[in-house]
Amino acid sequence: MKPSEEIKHNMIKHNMIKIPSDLSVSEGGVVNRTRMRFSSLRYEPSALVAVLLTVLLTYLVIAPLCSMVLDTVRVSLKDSAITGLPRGTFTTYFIKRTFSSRVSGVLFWTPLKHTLFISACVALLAIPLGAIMAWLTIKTDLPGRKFFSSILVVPYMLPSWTFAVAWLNLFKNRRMGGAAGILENLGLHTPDWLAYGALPIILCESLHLFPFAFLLFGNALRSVDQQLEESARVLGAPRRVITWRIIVPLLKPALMSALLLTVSRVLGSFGTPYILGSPVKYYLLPTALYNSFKVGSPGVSAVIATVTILLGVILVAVDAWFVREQKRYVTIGGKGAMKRPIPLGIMKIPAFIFSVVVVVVAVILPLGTIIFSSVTWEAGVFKPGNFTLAFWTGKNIPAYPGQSGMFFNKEVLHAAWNSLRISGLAALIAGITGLMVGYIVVKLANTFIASYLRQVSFLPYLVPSIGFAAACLSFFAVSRGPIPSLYGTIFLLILVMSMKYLPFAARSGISAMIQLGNEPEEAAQVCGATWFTRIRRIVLPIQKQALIMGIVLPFITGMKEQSLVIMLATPGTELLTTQVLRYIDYGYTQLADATMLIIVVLIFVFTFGLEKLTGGNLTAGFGGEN
Amino acid sequence: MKKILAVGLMLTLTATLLSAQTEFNLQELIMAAQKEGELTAYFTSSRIKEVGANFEKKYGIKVRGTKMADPEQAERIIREVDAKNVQVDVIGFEDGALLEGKLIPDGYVSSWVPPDLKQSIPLEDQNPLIFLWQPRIFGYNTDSYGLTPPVANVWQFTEPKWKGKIIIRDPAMTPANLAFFSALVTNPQPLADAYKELYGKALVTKEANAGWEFLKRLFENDIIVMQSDGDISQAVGAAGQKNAPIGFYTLTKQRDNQTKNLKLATLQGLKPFMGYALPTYGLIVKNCPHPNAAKLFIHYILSDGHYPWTVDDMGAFSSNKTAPVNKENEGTWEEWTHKLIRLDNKAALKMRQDVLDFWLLSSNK
Repeated sequence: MKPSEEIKHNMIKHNMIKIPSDLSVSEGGVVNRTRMRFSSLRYEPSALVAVLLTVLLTYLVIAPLCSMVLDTVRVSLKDSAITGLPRGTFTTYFIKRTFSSRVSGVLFWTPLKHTLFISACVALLAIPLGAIMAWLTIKTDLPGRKFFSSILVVPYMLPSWTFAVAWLNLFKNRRMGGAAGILENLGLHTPDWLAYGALPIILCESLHLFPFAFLLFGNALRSVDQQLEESARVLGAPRRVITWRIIVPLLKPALMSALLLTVSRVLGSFGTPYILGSPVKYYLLPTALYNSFKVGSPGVSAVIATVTILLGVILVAVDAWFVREQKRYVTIGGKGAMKRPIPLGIMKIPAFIFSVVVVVVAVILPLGTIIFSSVTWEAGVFKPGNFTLAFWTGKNIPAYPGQSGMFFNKEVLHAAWNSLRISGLAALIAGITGLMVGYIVVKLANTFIASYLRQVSFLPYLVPSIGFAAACLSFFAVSRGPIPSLYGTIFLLILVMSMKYLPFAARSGISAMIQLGNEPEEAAQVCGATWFTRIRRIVLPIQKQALIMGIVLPFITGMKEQSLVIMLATPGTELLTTQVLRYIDYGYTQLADATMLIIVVLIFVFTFGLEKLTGGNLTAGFGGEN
Repeated sequence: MKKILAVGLMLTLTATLLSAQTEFNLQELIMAAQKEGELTAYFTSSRIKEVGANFEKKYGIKVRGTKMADPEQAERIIREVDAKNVQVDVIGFEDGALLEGKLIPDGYVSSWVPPDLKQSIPLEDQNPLIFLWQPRIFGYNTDSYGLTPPVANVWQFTEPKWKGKIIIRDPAMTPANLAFFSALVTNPQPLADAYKELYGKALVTKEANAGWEFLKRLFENDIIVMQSDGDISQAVGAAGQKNAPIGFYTLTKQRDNQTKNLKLATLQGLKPFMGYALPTYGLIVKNCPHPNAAKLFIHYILSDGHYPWTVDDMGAFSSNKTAPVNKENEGTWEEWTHKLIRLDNKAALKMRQDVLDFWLLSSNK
């Protein structure tokens, strides 16, 4: 088709040219119309893509969740063993047991209270910290701000339970088994409230999650068009007015996102409350869910999981309402913006010290204790003969039957390979799907299908990993139509992981597409570019960074994911993170620590490798210099 | 003619099969197993790695052995069998209640006793097959309390002196502990007698019986839970402690007295029981991919294969009466059974929910 025809086609499409009505009557007319429909698909296949995405996400996200909701009233084999109810029948027993039995306080209400309390505290701690650090590194002349902006992403890259493990290394007391913590060894008794429970959970979660706010505020601050500030300054507005009347309102979406993601993250985080809460029986919803699952009452687990999903849905509703209230911003301008850092003046030194403290507490200390543990025979003991490299380079380590150091350990190497391919493929699927969702959501804005895709693609984020894994396990373990049973295959892991991480990618895809706006593509369309050309030559190049983020973030998360995969991994499909848990089960603390370090190293290597490979500056994208 | 031939052939085949069933031939089983090539095993014990490696050395059949707790094993087996995608062949399982209540009746796993070993395994250990017995006992730290046990009667655990100092494996995730508690409430008389012996008067209780009262007082005394016997033995046994807690762990953990410098000792003479007899069942999963290798493995852990559990280290006993025992075991299994409570799977299944709820309520007060 010649360009002129393409333009004509578009004009037809936009009702600019009336087609003679008799066309459809003639035989050739039908052919023409069919051809036109196909060619219309070629020019504007958004609708087709939207339908495909809708079907796919419904099957992969909604169906498993529905199946789990069904499990709240259906008697499973295990429950039938204990309750005596026949398998497969329907009952309200589990719902009553969870909400209004003598054990419902223990099973549900107290964990719910704890969850809300911890979420609020973490949000209050992590978001301001992230916002302050973002402002310091992007808007001010803080010394070493490029370095800070790179290293402050690290806590988020670490597995969330790193902080819990490090916390125990320091504060563990005699209440828990194994060797005592470093402080206890130094003769300082750590009370239970300091070692376990709410306080350490809040601190560890905040340390892990503040980079989230840091990234979001960083991106927002960077994309605020400098001209707005310049204009205000020209008009004589003082700094304070510029900050409160221009910058802060523009940061509202970032604040809302940070709040939403932080709360939902706490709702779904398992490792930290498990490690730090269990010793004093301080349970949150995810750990309560896990307990019910472990105890072997699938009915109650399904009820608790459903409640957490509902809480998630409420959060999505709040988000949707907020977005509707907000105007949409097109914050990426076509013109170059000049940067003028705000001088910190006498606050320069205190701000620098503060930043250093944040880095020490959030990065150096946790990693330090784990490295330290992986090279000692007895964790927490400072004696010369206590240091060893056996857990890295040793073969057949004494007192660890059949185990070699990391570099010769077949299990670890196989698990590493599994981690890489499973997270890698899942991230790729999530990233591409996410960008497609973003594209459709913006293209078909204000349609039902767009808001459906937007919300469904965000839903897995709000379902706790364990709950999502449980739902998918029961749904995909049986063969359905052309799809065989996926239990025990890496496909199940890839599938579940890619859906669980779709929200990252979809979020970044949606916000990137909103910022891009429709204009560049429409311009190309007018020039006669096909859909594929437009995607290839315009959307992808502009969105390269968003796509990279949409792949790298899920990949990073996949490499350290534990609660999502612990139920899905089988011997042979073991991942590095589940291998860590196996080692903890065996009591091989140092091997667990060393495996954890491998995860960390892999995460770093791949993040920076990808950054170099694509030429995209990831840390800049996260909020550094341009 | 063809038909007659076919029928004749079938008859011969059936006869061969039948004779194969009646006359057990270990050599044939080994050959059949070696054709299958490999084996996947979920066991509650971490020793499965070592046993698997030995098995591979002896028969050339690779074993993928994984330590896995009962609830997770059950979850996986149910899923795998329901999905008709069975990965695991053989399991070492401790949740007798679920086993006898569901997994065996509903055909998820089956119990197979090697015919050539039937003579040496007690009948009550054959259905379902128990291959390993362990005492799970109360133990203390000799650095803290010397060589004389600091406690002589289990009711002392409920006294203020031991508040926050008794450690057990989380009953919610340890079905055998729930079964133990069930045994105490279904057969409370020994506890009632022990109470009278200690305090010189009969127990007065609002609970249904002395068993429930004991559990209530024990749980409410800030009892501490841990996830594994290894954690408990380390917390109790770490050298140099002044007021070490008392722990409820499997006797086999006392092997770490040498390797990890622990100071563990059993509360010998504890009234009215030292703990309970923990069975490990050896079972074959339905429609497993390597059924002959699974049978051979069961045969192996009942003959030569149990050494890593029972001979190389202390604390566990083979159900095979002809098997050698470790000298440090503080007696034969026969002697141990008199000091331990034997679990009753049927009662445990019936009482499980009640005992679990009681635990949840009392321990979270």
